Amino acid sequence: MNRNFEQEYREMMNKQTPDLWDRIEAGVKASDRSNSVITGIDDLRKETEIKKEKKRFPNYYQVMAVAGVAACFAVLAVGAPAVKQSMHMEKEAEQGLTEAGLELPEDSSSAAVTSFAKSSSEKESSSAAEAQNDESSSVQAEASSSQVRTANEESSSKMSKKPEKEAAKDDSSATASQLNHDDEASSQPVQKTADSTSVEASSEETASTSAAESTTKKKKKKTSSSDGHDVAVTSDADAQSGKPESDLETVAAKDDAASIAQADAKAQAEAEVKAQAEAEAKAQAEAETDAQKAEEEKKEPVTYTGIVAKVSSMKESDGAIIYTFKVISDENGNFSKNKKIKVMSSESLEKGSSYVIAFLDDGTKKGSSTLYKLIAVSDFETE
Amino acid sequence: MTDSEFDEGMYRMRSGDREPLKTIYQDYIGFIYSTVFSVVGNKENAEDITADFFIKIWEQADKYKPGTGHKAWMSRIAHNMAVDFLRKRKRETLTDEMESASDEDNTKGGKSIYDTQVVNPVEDEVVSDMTLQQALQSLSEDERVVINMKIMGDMTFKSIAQAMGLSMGTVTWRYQSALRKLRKYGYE
Repeated sequence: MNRNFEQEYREMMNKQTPDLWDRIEAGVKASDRSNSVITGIDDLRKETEIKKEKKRFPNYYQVMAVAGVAACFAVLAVGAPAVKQSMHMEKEAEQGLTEAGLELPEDSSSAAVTSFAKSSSEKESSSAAEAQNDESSSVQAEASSSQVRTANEESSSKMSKKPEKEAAKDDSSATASQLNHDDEASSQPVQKTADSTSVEASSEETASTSAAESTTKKKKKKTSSSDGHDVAVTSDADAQSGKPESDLETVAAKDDAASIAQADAKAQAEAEVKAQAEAEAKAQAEAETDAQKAEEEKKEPVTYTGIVAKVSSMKESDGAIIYTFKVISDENGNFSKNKKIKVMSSESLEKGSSYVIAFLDDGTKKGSSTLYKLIAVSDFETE
Repeated sequence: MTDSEFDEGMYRMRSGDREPLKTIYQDYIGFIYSTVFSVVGNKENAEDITADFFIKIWEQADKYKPGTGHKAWMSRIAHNMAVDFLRKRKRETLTDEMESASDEDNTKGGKSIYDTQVVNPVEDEVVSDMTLQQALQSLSEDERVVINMKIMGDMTFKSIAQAMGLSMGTVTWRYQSALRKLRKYGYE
């Protein structure tokens, strides 16, 4: 007995298969509810995660603080080069002052200003002393003629015996007295040195005035420092007379401005000299190159021979004749037929005659065309 | 149900439509139940696992990849669920045996119906009067699964091999071995 296993198996399984749809539907609903709960939990988790992420980011005030700090750094970064540049300029100004033999007054202390004024007055006094010596010698010469020689000799000997510093002080005070007529104290040493003779006094006065003039002349030579020196002398006098320090500060400021202007003028002059030197060197180099080019052109002349040409025209120029040839034939093929060439020669050739010529091209030009120089010529017909 | 229809149904199920699930249930309840029953050999357990299977399909509709062969996909899930059930219950049974070694009732309902009955495979003899149930008891679990997928699922050996994670030769050999055993019981 043969049985169909497949058929019997399918029938058996179909009979055994229960109806599970209600259970499945209930399970699906339950899973949906649990999913919704899970979804709710997931939403809560997401919300908390979002809150955490928000907490990770800084709030508005923190951001603004950080931005402010960053802006400060940016300003410093931008402003630092400018500050450096200004410092560099100050250093250069100081350097210029030291080169000019001047000192920059530190802060606004009156001591520095007075020392500066003293140093300037010392310089002036030394120059004044020198000028006075010269003037005194001249005065001595005048005095010999006016019989006041002995008195001047005494005064000059006294002057020479005096220490240089004292003389300088006296002269500076004398200069100050010349510039500031109210200063009476400065006239006393002059009277002392002049003893009691009027001639001596007059000679001393002339000496002092001449010294003052010489100092003023020297000051004028020093373009920008003249004002400063004047003021410095005045300040010395002011210091002696006990004026307030504010005036000294203004004096120092003026000195600074003058010294800076002097340094600038010096730098400008140096720059001009450099520029002139460079321009000269450049022009010289160009001239040299031009000369070299001309020499090279002259060094390589080209000779053309065996050209049969006919004189079409001639023109005298500077003792020589410039012939215009019309080329008939060129055995070398350098010139085409009927080409017109200008050849300079001292020989006399007939217009309309044909010649066999040889000429040189040394680079000379006549207008736009080349001017050749005739080397040899022979009559074409005779050959 | 074709693959494209199944794919469409799974797509609709993603949006919460239960109608495709009912269609799939109607078409494949016998196949799934028999697959599970061929493994567990118990009606109640097979019903529970089958119900869980359809709920699982509903829940995992978004994980289904279209075009992979829906019968193989479903039979693999059903087989794995049945095997997992047996493993879980085996652990529980072993624990119970350790707790009460003398209790003989612990095996009742715990083993497959195919294991409770003594199979006497006398290959040379043909037992014509044996029932289908007895013939199935003569098959091994793997052979029963292959026969079930072939008959109830109308699956090819290739898809059966894909579903069980075996080579096609193994599946074919198991099928032929099962047929040889069934012939002894008068089946062709």
